[in-house]
Amino acid sequence: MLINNDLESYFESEQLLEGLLIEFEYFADQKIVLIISNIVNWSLKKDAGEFQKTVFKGVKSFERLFGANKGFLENSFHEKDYISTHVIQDIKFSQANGDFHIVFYIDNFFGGFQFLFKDLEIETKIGRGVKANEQEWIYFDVETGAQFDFHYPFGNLAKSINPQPLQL
Amino acid sequence: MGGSGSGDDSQSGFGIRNLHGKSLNWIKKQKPDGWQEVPSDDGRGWKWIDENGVERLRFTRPNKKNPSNSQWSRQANGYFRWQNERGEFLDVDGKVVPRNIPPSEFQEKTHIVYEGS
Repeated sequence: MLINNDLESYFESEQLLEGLLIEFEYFADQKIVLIISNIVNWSLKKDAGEFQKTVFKGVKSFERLFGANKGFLENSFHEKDYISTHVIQDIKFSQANGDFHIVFYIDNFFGGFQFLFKDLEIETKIGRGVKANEQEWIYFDVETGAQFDFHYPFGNLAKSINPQPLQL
Repeated sequence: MGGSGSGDDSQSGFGIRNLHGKSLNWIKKQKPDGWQEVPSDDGRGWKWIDENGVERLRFTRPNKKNPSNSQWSRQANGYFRWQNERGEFLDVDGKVVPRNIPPSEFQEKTHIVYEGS
């Protein structure tokens, strides 16, 4: 869903704040920033959760704002690769000269990132978790019943947006 | 106030074993030497940062928006988010909350409602 018409209201609603950051990717060639997160939705039952895919298009002037840990990759992060958990703590949105400007602040360890963009698309999905064993949960889309991976609630988007050359 | 209570197996890694009923005044006195206290980035509270740059405790004051209209109404008294030295989120008893549990449960356990006065 493209929501360019009312971006100010969207970011004022603080929908993304305090959500768990699952994945962040900057695809410079495609001018895309992708964020996969959990949204805080207090209206859902305990065994459910809302996942959101946020896609910024026409991205330029991307800048990674490093935090205390310089070891995080500059343009890519996936929570499954780290023990530490990160949530989106602050977002600053503004508009100037026909571009939208946004600053994401994650936390002191991670830092954040900022960029200009032209379009924003979001897609949400509500999933229900079923405990498979002591450590694993299986998730099902409440609308379609389809099973999905907590770590890739919308599939492996990094792979589909920026496919790697085949290794022979 | 300040005993270990139900947090004997707390994984906080410092003096605060749990956050049940703790007042802000008491909590603020527990900050280990060498940690920094800085305003949180949204300007709604404060946070402690340890020697390695990990945020260990963050307090967010009640939102100025009308709580009855806000998605944050259940945190009308303010809330904490608490992490151990590895950056894992903790519940009110200082126990690690796995992040792959259903998101609503994760959010409920890791948004620790301020119970102090």
